[in-house]
Amino acid sequence: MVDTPFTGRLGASRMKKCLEDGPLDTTQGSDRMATAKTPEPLTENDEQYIIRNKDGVPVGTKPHTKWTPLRIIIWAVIALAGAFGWLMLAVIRGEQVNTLWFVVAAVCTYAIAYRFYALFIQKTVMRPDDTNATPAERIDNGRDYDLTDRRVLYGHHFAAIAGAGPLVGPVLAAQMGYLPGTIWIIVGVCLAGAVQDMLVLFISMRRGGRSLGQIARDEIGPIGGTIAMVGIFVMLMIVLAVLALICVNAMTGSPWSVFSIGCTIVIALLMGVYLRFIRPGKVAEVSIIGFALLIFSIIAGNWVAQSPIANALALSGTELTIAVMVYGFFAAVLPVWLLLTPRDYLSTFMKVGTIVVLAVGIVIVQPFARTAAVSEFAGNTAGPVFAGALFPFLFITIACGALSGMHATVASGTTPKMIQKESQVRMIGYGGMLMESFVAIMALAAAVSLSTGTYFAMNMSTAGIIKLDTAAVKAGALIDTDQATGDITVWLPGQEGVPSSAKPLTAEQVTAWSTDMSAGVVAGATAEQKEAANQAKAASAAVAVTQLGVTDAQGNKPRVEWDQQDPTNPSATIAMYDEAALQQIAEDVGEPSIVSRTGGAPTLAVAMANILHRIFGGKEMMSFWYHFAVMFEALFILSAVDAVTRVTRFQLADAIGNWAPKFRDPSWRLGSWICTAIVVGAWGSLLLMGVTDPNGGIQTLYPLFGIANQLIAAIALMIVTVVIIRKGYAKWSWIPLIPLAWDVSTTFTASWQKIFSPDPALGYWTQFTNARALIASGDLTGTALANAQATVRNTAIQGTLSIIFLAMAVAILVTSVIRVITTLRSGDTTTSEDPHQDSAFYAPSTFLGTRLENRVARQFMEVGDPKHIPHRR
Amino acid sequence: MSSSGLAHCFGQVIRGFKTAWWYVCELLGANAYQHYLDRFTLDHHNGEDGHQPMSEKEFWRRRIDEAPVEGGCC
Repeated sequence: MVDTPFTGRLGASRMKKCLEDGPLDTTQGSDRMATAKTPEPLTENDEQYIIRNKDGVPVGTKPHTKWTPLRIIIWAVIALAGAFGWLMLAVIRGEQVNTLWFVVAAVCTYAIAYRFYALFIQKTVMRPDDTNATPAERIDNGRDYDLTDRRVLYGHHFAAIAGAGPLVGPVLAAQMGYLPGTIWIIVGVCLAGAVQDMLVLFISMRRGGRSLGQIARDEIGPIGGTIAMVGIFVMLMIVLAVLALICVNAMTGSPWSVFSIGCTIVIALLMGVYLRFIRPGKVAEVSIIGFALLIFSIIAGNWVAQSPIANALALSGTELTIAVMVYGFFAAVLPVWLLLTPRDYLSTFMKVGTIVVLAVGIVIVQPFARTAAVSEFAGNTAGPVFAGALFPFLFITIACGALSGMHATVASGTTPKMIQKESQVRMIGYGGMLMESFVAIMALAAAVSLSTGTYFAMNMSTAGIIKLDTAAVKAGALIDTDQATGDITVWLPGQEGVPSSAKPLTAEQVTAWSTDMSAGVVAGATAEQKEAANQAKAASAAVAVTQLGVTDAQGNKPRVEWDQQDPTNPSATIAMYDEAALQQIAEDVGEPSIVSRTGGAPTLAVAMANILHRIFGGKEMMSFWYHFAVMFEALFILSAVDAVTRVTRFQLADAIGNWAPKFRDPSWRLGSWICTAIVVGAWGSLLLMGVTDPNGGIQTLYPLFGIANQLIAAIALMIVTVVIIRKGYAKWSWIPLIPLAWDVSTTFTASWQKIFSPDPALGYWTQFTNARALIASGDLTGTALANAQATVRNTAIQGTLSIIFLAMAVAILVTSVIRVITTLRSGDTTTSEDPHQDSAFYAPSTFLGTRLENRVARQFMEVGDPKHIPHRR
Repeated sequence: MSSSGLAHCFGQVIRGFKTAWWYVCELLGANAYQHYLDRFTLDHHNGEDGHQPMSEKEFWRRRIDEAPVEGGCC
């Protein structure tokens, strides 16, 4: 009978009642199930580790770890296992690297970082004081300030920070090979991401749960604070645009995905109405119904995709952009109960499910990594997924999972208002981020288990494919056409075994592919045109991947490969290659085409389908798993899009309220519509720019997204540094300064290259000048002219945004440094922390609770009279 | 394995599921009304001071309408 979950003091009273009534129902979520018998009472010896307030109520326990031989052995084993994992990944490698080593290296490193580094930070700069009441205990209004069980809050915090980011960033970064991404995700989270999340959470918790912008204002001053607020607003717009772009790319031309993702909105509406009018408060019940409907909509998507209405649902990128914008507007102005709240239930449900499914898949199937450890694209700017070399672009491509500025808004948002004890910050802040990092590692492991050719065929823009095909013509590539199916096989000059029927690839053939592809995406394209476009895509992509300057794990030129089930022997597979393989993948996952599906979500979905079908359901279930994966990614993205739209709309209304006070009135309908329209217009126009970009929106916009996200991290880490120095802990300021220095050097270098690089793959302004020169030369006509004009327009906007981001970050850094210098000179360590207030509340600080903690928790239930808790209403 | 051992195992599994269910419910906030009632009882001495708790319907209406919107997640 230990530490039954409770919320605030009401839990205490309930617990007391239960104790009087007899044996407690320990099934109610009690941990340590195996020891669900009455724990022994506290002893004299225990007492020395217990912190009590003046009324004798226990409020905390002192750290008292003793290094027993067993403990030393356990940690030695963890360290050795981790070291072995890294050795297998990075040094030995061998023929094929099992992705299970990714998991081993990650988990062991996390454990060590959590146990030693996070604890070190806790002891040196956080110094949690459990005699101090947290905002949740002090204010406890039953709404936003709400004492929440630490294990529940952990899940809550994780669901709030993790979305599509840790799933797509690592997939895109896989173009550099598996090793750079793995190292950055694991080392980055331990030294940077988790440190940022934990410290921001702690700082905000000590300040009544104030937001990052407000803390910046208090700590750095009004100028730096205002720039930080505006900067975060602008950066959020680009973040939303890129997230929405990923979602749009996953749905483009796919009736199945459009149907099942569209259904999530309808299902959320139904859930909202059900909860409001039919059975109020039956949250768990409605979530299960919603989840069942969700699964059904995935299955039904298959029927829709094969029905006559499929062609009407095969929407183009532009059409989907308008749909997402209309959705974003209504989601932000409709009452929360109708759409936002029920969709959050679905999203939370799916987040927990995703981790379980991913982990089970990787651990049981243990796929091999098929990309090289470090690919050629780590060292040059020729990568087709995104342009830029390893330094600095790896570190902005993988943001969520390693270091993400967005988290600082959550860690200074709802979580600090719900935490029970100061000493729980390490578990929730640092531990929550470790879990997100783990998701990122699994996404990376899944992505690199696809063949290199498949990976690139999915992640190149169509313009990039045609460019490489033109190179293939020059290089003398040969194609052999299968008489029966029309599928082509690609052969390079000098290759062994070229069939005599192979013919040289011609420029006319490439032009024909290009024409077919363009005809398939215009509004009002017929089903035949779309079919022809998909065939052209598969054929041209099969040729294009052979021209990439990259090799796979075995050092071979990439080639699209896929295992198909042997029709005569279901337990055997036949390897397929080139166009036939691309067509087969599309058929297996139930999509018209999988070529050039940039953004990372479809790639991860194919990889997950390829892994999961081996455990659940076989080939038949592959299309289900693909659409399951696409749907949860879309669900996470749409949740972020409408929630952030809603929040920023209020911020905007507040800002406009400075000039036109009427805007501050939340009940003024027209005002909120105007603000929502401005916010949706801001991210929507960026989204449209990405969708119509001739080079593929992800390739040009994703770096901007990464830079924006990581600059928010720089702002957060700078604020943390200022707070630590003002607190008088200057000697420990290296803790946030290490990640800050790294983050600043990568984001500033990336921004610099994006603005000034003469390399047209990188520099926005170089692209801009080149495109302008091309237009001025008068040689361009038709599509080429339109593309050049789009490039001029897009690069001008992207280049300007890069400059604005950089200027803002510099301004905040300068004001912060000034603040640090004045603080160090004056020795003024006044703080904006809330004054100390005695706590009268106890809860364990570890996830499961130590033996001592659980015994103290039990005593608190008995002696912790609810009346001792201050600020009762 | 003896039958009592099997029963024990079975009990453990059931308990594990119940724990998972409790966790999901708490995560979704499904028990909020019960928490509110417990708290109300405590604050208002079981209604003896003349206050009456909100009905379940009213509670959920207010809870959802007044909930802060979170804008995080990447």
